[in-house]
Amino acid sequence: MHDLLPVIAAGIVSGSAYALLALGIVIIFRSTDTVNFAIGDTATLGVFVSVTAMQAGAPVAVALLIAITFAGFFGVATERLLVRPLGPGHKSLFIALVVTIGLGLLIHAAIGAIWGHRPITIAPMVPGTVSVFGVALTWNKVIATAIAIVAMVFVAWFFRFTTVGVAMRASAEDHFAARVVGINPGRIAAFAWALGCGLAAIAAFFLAMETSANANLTISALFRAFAGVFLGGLTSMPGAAVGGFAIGILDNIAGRYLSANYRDTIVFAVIVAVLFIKPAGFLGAGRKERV
Amino acid sequence: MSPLLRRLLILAVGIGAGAIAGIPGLIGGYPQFVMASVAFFSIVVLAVSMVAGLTGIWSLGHMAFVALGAYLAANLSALGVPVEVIAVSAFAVSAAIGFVLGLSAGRFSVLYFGLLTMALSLAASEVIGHWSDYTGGDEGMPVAPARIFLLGIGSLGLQGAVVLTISLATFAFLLADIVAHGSLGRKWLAVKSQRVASTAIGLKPQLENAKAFSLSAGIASLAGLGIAYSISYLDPVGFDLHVGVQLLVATVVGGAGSLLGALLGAAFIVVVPEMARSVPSVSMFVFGLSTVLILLFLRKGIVPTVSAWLARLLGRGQRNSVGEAHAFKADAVADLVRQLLPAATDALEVKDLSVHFGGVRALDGVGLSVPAGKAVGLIGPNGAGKTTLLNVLSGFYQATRADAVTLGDTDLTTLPTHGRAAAGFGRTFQHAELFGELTLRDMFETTAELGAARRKAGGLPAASAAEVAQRIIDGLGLSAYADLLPGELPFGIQKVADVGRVLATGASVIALDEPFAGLDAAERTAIRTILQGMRQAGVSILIIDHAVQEVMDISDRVVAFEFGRLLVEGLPEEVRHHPEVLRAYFGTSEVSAVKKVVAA
Repeated sequence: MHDLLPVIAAGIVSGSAYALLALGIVIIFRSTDTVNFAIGDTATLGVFVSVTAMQAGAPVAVALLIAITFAGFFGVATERLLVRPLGPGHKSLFIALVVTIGLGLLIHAAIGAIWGHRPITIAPMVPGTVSVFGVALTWNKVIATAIAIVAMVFVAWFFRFTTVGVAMRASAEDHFAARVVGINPGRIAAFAWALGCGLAAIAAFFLAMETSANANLTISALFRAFAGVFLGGLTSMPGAAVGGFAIGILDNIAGRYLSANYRDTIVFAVIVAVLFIKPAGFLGAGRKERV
Repeated sequence: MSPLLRRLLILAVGIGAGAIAGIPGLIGGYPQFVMASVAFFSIVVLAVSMVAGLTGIWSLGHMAFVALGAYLAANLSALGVPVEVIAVSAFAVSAAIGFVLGLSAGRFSVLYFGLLTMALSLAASEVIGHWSDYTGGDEGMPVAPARIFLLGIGSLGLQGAVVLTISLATFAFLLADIVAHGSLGRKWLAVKSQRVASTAIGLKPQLENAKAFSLSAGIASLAGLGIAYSISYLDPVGFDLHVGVQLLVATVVGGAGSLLGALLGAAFIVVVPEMARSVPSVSMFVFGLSTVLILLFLRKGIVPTVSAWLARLLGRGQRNSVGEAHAFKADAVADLVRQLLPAATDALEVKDLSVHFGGVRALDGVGLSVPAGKAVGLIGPNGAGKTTLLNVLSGFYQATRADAVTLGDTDLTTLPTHGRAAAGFGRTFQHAELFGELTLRDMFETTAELGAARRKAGGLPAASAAEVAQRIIDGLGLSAYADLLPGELPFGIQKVADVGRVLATGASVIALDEPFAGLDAAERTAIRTILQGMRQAGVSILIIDHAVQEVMDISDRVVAFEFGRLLVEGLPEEVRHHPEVLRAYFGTSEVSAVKKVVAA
């Protein structure tokens, strides 16, 4: 067990991407009761746009901002054009999920058509490795984790101290009452989708730097992010962040000590166990109505 | 279309397709392969579509069951096991796994369960990839030709395997049709459309979900046999989540719950990639685009939308001349009730019942008694705790403390809601809560099946569920509405139908939650007539309503609550003039003035 520390460190590093994606999923779900299955593909699309920008000579930091902004606007457009027309009510919940699945297929196909099917390698922001607590990590991973944590702190600050953030929390508690006190649900939804997809783009950007930009960039990460969401509860933002990190650590521990071949299965088993013990997740509020 | 005609049509399509594929030299190998693909995909799309349409549960994980069937076929065929045994065992194993998963579906939302089945699919892919001794791992594995014991075929050729696959599909469609239009399918629709009300007539939603998911999983495994024999090689990529997503696309495009839709959807996901072989990702683009467009513009999918258009075009969909409700007499209702409900022999007793929600004392040590065959009215201003009491009686709320909540010797508090229905406690709902996807006739029939045991135990003459439904329809003047869905009916008719439903349960005590609320004068008359008939027939009635006059007229005794406490209990006349009741309803300073009004 002497290598437990490196395994946990690796778990936190990979968990930061899951946590960002999970946070994005939860922010969007709280605002419009929609599970955005296309969040991973939207983020991947943002990354490809930024790759094109980098190929045209944009610095990495600018490219990251481009990815975030593009994904954010794409999210807003998704909500406005595809989700809102479905109308409110719990019957459209799953329909909205299927629509975003369809959108994900579309984006996936579009990426292949525009950028081709070959993975595009991206130079890391800072090359080389660094030793953290005696664990060798690439600079890319360290920077990714740091930026992820900064983003999460920003999200916490945003929801706690800004007017829009507080309005979004109020709206998540009770859409109807929020409307009555003058909160515009359309604007709340737009902010939430922009923020959620933007956070996902950060995760996807560093995943691409770690491996390469390819259309399947976020598939496995998205599955783990969902596992994190289950763990923390679909309605809890801190739950999503903690859940994402927990899945990252769990995944690495399972891969190291149990079986490297059955990582998905182990993660699946954990989700099932959690859902049976606490269907709303460990930090999620019990919902008024089963959705 | 009549059920028989529909089933003959399924059989005819199956035989026709089987003949086209099976007659030697008629079509080439490639068309045969396409037909087989449509056939096995139609089996699993049907499985996904059926469970979505009948229960509202969506699954992304059905390819796991298909894989189970396929790998079982590959492994057992190599040992020389005949197809019949393989099919039965694949069906049984899948159905068993599906049953356990389906039980859990009730605990989660549709959303969570959908994501859970996605995880199932990912886990299944991983197991296939690594359990190489039995799956061949990523390389896949060949499948030995099928042996059919009953036909004496030792080694089925590829063309024969295509016919076998088409036969399996035909069987699956027939099975799905019989189940969906039978008693099980109606129960599943009842649970889907009104989970709470379905427990009040004695259904167990979790069990019904589990049965549906189990059947669906079993059917899906048959698709695996089709894949194994008609392709004769298993490639793990064919069972991964992408295919699961395509099944969802096929279901959405064809229309959830539609048999023809399942076939069309399957053809769609087979033919599009075949036509776009040369251009990568075109089929994904088409799938994505069609999913989005269909959900935005034809929400129910192609087949249900088109058939609705056709029905409107042919004028069959026009229902503005539904006719009038037939008037009925209390005597006739009394006769109906005597035929349907066992005579009341037990009293409903509530003693010292308290229900607290946090610091709120919704009920605080109240009691009431409904003697056998008597009508008791419960009145009280808003917040008195009337509905809370009814929800405790139904089993929707737990009592914080109670000396007794009993029906005869039965302690109701130990029973779940569906158990209380079986014990003879029936109720109606303020907002009727009819099953939105069942016609009134189907609703009465389904409920009558559940009530058959009580009628038998009560010594009533045997009657089939269909007969019971017909009697209720005739007795309550519903014949003009019998084959319509609740959403097409005026609210007053819905409330009458709600009472009809509780009559079908064979209850011996009936609690009515605000039967007069929201009705106009004519509709009130109908409800009043029914209640008088029930009273004549000697049913125990607990009636809760704001319409004080109506309650007074129908009740033997009246109980008044205020703020969760018992205010007054007595004969209607006593309660009507009781100063406490007048104060509770009208306030103190007005009492003398109101007394004059009431007296006048």
